[in-house]
Amino acid sequence: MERLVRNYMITSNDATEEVKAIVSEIVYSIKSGQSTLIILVQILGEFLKNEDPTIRAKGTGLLSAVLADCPQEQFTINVLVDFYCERLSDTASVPELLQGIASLIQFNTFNDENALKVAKSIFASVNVQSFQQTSRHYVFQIFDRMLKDHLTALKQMGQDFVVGFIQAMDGEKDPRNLLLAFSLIKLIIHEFDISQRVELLFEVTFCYFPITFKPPPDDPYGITADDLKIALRECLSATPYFAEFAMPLLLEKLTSSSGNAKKDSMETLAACAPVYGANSIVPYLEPLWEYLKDEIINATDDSFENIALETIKNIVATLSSGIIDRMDHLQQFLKTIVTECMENLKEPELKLAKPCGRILMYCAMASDPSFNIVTLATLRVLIQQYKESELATRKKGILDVLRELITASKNLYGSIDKPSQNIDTDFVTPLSNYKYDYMEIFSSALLNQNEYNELRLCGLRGLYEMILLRQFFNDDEIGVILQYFNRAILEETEQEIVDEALKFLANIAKCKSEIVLEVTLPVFLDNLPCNEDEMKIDNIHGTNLMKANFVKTLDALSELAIEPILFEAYVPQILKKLDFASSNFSTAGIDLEYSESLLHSLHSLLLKKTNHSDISRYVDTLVPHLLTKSIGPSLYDKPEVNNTIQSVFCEEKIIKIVAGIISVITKNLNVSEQSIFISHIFEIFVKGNLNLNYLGFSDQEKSLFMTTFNPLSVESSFQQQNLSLLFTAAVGSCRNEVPYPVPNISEFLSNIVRITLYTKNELHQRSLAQLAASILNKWNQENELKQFVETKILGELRNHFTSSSTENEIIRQISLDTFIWLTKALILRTYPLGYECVSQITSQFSDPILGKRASEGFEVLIGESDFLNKASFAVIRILYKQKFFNYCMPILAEGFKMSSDEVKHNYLIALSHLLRNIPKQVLLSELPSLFPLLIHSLSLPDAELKSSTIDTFYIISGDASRIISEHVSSLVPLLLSSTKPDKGNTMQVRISALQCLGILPDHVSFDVLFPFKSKILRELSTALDDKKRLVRKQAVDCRSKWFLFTGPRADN
Amino acid sequence: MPELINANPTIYATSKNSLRVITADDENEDIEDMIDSREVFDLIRSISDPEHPLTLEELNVTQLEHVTVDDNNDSVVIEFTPTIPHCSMATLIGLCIRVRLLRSLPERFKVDINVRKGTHQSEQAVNKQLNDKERVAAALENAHLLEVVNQCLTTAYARGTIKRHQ
Repeated sequence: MERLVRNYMITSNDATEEVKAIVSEIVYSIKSGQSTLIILVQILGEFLKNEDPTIRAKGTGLLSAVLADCPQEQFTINVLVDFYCERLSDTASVPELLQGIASLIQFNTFNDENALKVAKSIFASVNVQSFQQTSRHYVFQIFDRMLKDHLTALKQMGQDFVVGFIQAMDGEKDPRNLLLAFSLIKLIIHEFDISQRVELLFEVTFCYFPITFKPPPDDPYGITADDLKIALRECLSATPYFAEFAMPLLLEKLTSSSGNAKKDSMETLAACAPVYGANSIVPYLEPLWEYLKDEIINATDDSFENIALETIKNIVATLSSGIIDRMDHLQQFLKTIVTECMENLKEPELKLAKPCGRILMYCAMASDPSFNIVTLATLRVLIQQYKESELATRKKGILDVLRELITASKNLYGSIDKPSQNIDTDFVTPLSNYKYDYMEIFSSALLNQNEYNELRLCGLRGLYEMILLRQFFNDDEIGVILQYFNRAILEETEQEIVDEALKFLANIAKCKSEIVLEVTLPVFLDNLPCNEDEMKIDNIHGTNLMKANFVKTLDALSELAIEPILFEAYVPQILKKLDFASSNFSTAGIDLEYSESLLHSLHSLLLKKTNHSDISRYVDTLVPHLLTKSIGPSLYDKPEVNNTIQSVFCEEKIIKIVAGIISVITKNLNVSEQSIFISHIFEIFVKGNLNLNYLGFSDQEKSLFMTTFNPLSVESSFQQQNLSLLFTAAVGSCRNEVPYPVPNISEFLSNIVRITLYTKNELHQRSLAQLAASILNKWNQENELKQFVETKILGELRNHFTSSSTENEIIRQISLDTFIWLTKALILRTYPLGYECVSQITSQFSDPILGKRASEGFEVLIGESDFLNKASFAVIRILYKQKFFNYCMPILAEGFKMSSDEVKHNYLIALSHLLRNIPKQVLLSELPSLFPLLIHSLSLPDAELKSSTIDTFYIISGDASRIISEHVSSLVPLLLSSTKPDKGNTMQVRISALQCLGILPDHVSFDVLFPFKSKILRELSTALDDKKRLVRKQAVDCRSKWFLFTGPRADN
Repeated sequence: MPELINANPTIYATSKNSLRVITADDENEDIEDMIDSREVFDLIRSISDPEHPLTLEELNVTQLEHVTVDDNNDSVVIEFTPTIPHCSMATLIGLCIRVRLLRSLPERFKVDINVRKGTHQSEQAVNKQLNDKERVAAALENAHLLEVVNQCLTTAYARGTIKRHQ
């Protein structure tokens, strides 16, 4: 031990490693019982008493360092505390002593008495502010810990503690220490009797106001100015004692020329007002109002205006709380405000009306008394003024103010769409007294069709906002207003009014479903034609009108009928109309469009109902209905032979929407529901059993069937084959626990794959390829899966497209397509053999027939798809995109280098699909090696490749500004030439190029870009005269950005 | 804060000239879109007023009806209305419009910018200044003035989409 201590004493001050080693050796010997702390102290004794202060300090440092790591049972705390406290008067050793105390207070055995001793000793012996930051930080840490653990003991010190702490922090400048000190001040204010020391405490705190701290550029502490502001504000607003000192100073800072100081003062006032109380604010009301008013009326910045308003609100709230006699001040203050605002509101179309309206709103929502006072003083006048006014802009100005008060009521008295807010439900909004006036004014504003649009919108918005007020309108009144809304949506020609009315109604449908069910839904459903008379159209004009009408009505219903009770009423009606439309198939095509719109509305509503549990019940009603409708027509005859019996359900686009509906419903079923449903689906689509009760074909219908149902077969009619889409939609949307009712999956899957190769129907092929991919992806029998992939996919299927001599071109292409889908299924689950498949695909890039197709296949491999996604319960491993990218990147980069120009193109296409679909971070990491490829892409005349590459540049420009800077001289000319209307530069390319050029000034520094500025400005003049308006718009924006790009301003 | 020339101007809602809707023709590569008055109005409507944080459209200084464009004959005529007849900002506002169009329209256009008849007491002087190429160029040599103009133009991109809180 002695040897260690002596070694330590002769180490130089910067040999930290050595010191650490010695300390840990000492700690080890104490822990293992070879030695004790006492022995260490004894050995250190001679150094601790040495005349040389640096030696004393160094000795203390060793003891403190050992203490930090020492188990507490090894020593008696009292002895050490005494020892440390006594030595604190030895100034030279204080830093090391504080470090030791900071360790001591962590021990469980450190008790109240020790805490008192430490506090007293520090106050008595340590001149805190004469030490370095780290030592000062120890002091604040010590107090922080002791105030938490030994508060009661320290409180015995009373005044002495308060004064001691004030002295310790007086003059502190370091942000880390201040943040801690502020939180301690707040605690002291709450826990100690400060009444004797208010001024001292205030001075030591307020001297930091306003905070002007700016974190150093590398921000090593992570402390922001806002952290300090908030901490200081919490101190200043911690006690009403501060009021008399703070108010005059805060008021003075309000008039400061610094925006920061103003803002901080307002926010601090807003926080302090409720604490300081009415009496403290009253003397300053007049200047406060003058100042805050000025800030609101002349605000150039919304944030200042909002803070000033918030401050007024808090002042009014403060004046409102408390006993009756203080109400005089409230009355008086509000009178001043209201009088001035009303003076400005005499001409409400002028600029000052808006801020005045906002002031009234904030005053009103401060408290129930203030709301009453404000409404009493203003509403009669405003309502009268509205009724007497002829000028539309003036009327609108008044409605705006009336609406501000609706908002105030909503905030203070609550609204029905957010009932959980913290609101005192005993109060009823005083606006109720003006309910009928309000209703009349706002209704008439909306209903007058010749009126200024903006005024009508105001009427609409006001009515909506009032419906949402708690305890305002009763259900009958809401019903009346909803009728106005119905009319606005169905009959109005002004699109803006239609859109807003619909948006509002949709929101009301969420909280007042019953009223919407009763008042709105029937009107909208009746507006959809349901019989021949209603559908009778004699000319093209009538057709267009009818179409516009049902499209509009259905669009509206798609927003409204989301809630379960509304949807329940909607579905049977829509099916009725669909039966009518589909049974009446005529050549005019209107039936087809009508059916399509009906189904589309159903589908979009189902998609919006993601959180509703009622969807699953529609698997037994809606789904069989649609299945019957779709399957029936495919059995009557072969339509490619005879066109007489046709149905809208033979149309591809109709089948696709039905597939979408089946898919979304399936996804919303649980495992057992899905299992039952899937067994029906297999019975129908695989076995062709149409006698199922589930389907419910009538005997009469069945008697008309001319053929069997076999939609998966290669021999069936195209029309039946198209229905495989429905099979895929159902099976592809199942959870992977759901068993398929087939004896052998491997066989079933091989069969599906075989059909995709030989069917003549492209839709059939694609739909079954996706089906196979989905089954493969969810297959959880590892052994069978492996065998299938090896023999069927990498074996048979691969042979179809690689052995060019034996197969015809079409089979090669189709087998590649199916192969790509199956590969995707494997990549999603990061199945190792999947990557082997990928390399089979890239090896086709150089094939003259398959090259392009293989490279385009990357979009399928890594892009989004309908069935292989999370929502469809596909097996998707995390980071599969990264893994895919990491596997492909070297292949693509290498292949690009080695191949001819023709083939290079295919590599770039694959790359562009890849880049479009991977996370930006992954892309950025590989950017340096990618850059040459990207630049090359811009020089090819392939529009899609070009625009996708430019988009890549656009996306990365913010994060990769350094690399972009390095390549600016090659990038800018290529982008500029892409803005010209040359071959390969489609509109999209030109727009993207202009966007990309326009974003450069945001990310690349001025000195790098400046040499290109005049060239860019000159060359962009071509784009200003582009024949397409959308391109011109982008050109103007880009060019204007470059004009305004003038580098760092000289005066900054 | 210095005294404003017109401290409490009337504000007009912008919605009657709401946004240009993109049509199928606009997106069709083969159709040529002519430059029309709406397009030019869109360029200048959201320029900020030098005095207020409001756009020229909100102050009714520019209106769609007062923009005349003839694409075939390369001509654009703009008339603007100062908020008050003695508005000393009129030339500056005109200059902002001038600079915006210099930067945004193809060079082939001849652009006339005039104060609307009878809306300003020194109508002719302002007009003369705004349509004299050399005087405009000289004005833009003044770095401070250019700074002010650029400041007013920073909102011009919005094309009427700036909506203040409703």
